[in-house]
Amino acid sequence: MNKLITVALGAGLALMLTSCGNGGPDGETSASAQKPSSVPPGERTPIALNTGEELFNHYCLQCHGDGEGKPGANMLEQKHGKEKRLIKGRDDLPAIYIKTVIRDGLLEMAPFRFTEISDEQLDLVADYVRSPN
Amino acid sequence: MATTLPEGVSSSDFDQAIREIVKIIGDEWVFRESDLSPYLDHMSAVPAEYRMPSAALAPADIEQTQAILKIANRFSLPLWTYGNGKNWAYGGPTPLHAGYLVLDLKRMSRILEVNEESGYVLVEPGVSYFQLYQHLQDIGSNLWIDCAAPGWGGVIGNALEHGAGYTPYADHYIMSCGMEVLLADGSLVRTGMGAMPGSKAWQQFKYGYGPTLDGMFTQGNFGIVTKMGFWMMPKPPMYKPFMFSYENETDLHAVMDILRPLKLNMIWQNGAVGEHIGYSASVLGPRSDYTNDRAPITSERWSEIAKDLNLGVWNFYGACYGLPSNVEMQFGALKQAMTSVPGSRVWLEGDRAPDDAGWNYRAKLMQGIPNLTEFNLVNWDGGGHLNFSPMGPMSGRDSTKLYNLMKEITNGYGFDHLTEVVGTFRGMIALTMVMFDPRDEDAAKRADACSIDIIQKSAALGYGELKANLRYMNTVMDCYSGQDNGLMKTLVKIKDALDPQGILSPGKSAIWPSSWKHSRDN
Repeated sequence: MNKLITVALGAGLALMLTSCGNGGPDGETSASAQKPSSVPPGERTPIALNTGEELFNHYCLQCHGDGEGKPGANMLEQKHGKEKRLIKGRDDLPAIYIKTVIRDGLLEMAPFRFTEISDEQLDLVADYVRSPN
Repeated sequence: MATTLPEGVSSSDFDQAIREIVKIIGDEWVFRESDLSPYLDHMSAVPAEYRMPSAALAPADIEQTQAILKIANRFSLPLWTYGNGKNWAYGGPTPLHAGYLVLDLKRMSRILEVNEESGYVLVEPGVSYFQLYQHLQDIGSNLWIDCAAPGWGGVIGNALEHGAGYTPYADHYIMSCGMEVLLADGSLVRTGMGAMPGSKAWQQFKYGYGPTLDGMFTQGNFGIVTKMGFWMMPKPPMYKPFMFSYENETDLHAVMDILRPLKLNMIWQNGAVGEHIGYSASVLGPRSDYTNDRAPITSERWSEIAKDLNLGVWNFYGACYGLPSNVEMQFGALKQAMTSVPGSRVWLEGDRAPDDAGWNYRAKLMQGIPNLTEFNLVNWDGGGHLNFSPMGPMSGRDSTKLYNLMKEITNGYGFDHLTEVVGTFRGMIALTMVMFDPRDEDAAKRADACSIDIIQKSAALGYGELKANLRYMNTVMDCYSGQDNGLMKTLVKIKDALDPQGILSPGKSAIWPSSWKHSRDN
């Protein structure tokens, strides 16, 4: 393939990459079709996990969120019925219980290490879980 | 709680070592006694306490890790390196032997570089798929990640364990480019182009000059990988997920023979994941949704379940990527070939119910959107699960033979057979999960025996295991005994040269230094 064709193909693909809708099943990827930016080497990239809600969304939502395919929610529904499917808003659970289950795990629920969630962050998560919807 | 010490280390030496480590990384990053519970594995066939570590250490950076290595060498402390993910089915974060210290690298979680122009990232071992995906979304990147099915997995850890994802960049080690590795003596090495000061292509070209070292730092214990580059797939102009379903258990033979030339010619671009209905059903509901009988679910019942779920007994997921006209042309070829089996059906976006968790999570994974839907498998029958990946040629004959073997062994021990076959570039993995309730002592014992049978009987037919739970590392390595144990003899020579005391993850993949005087059981 000569250089001119290579350049043309690269430019064409780049144009399509930035201008085409993605056609994904839920549109999640098409939202990012904007000007690309790069992160220079050495830049720190912590995720903003400062509130109970941010922590819950990052660590818990994929298992305990609403909607189909959520293993934690499915298990809670199987064991305790539909009304207890979602953990969010469960003020009947003591904070210490929530924190112990996150730290130590419980059967199908995986434990989370101190390097993943600190004790201070656990307090925030437990408060958020127990807060009204 | 009494501390289980590493074999051969006195209590006074251990306490002295911990005091010195505390001075380096701070007391808050040294975990002892009751704080060690999140480092245990409750989902395996042996009691979690069997592998109770003596401590867990979480250094913030390379310098702290180097300082820990000095102390470990002085006091002969075995460090079990662990990165980010959960690693359930393979042992979790727990070490091979009780008394080892876990070296938890989670705090090293920087995404050091995202290069849009060349399509790569450079990350540290604590970076998860969720973190990398979120970061790329936040900066408006046009790069896709390729993730394992559980999105909490570690980008580096998964690649080092030869893990795979679901886009065309699915083979994570093949798609890696450049490592930085800390050796047991504290020295640092960069592989490939990274060895040259001022190199401008560390993440663009794998080889550099001289022997290529990267592979020896995977699935072993020769070093601690502290940085690793990965090629990222640019988001394609078009993405078209699909599924082909088949009515009969025996259709596997014909389908795999059809699949092989499609994979060889890269018409089927990503990994071809063929779920048996058992695998599909377990993502959608617990065992009790399908049967109350404790006996393994029969082929006849699986067929009924497939009909109830509007699925096939076999369900092959894949996707096309690229320019729209190419995608349609490729899909046309795939459809023509894959639907030549009588009773086959084709499913595209919008064909499944909107709340079909099975289709939805596959469609996400095949475009690199991490999620945890597949973890529903763990709800099948009590949470215990062990994964096995015997590898064979991608052919109808071999796939059928391996599938039947997996079914015969698991059913023989009283378990359901939950299997998916995955077509790679040339080979085929018959991924099989042994699901059991770890609270049931008898079930755990059967799962343990079943696991050993899967490894040994597969190997006897020429199908080698690719990964192993801690419990079965020796069993798997025993199968790779050709040329008068040539592989193991070479690995031991390397271990003796790089880590003669066995400081780094001793026993990982059954590799120990020749001087090791302690237990080699697992």
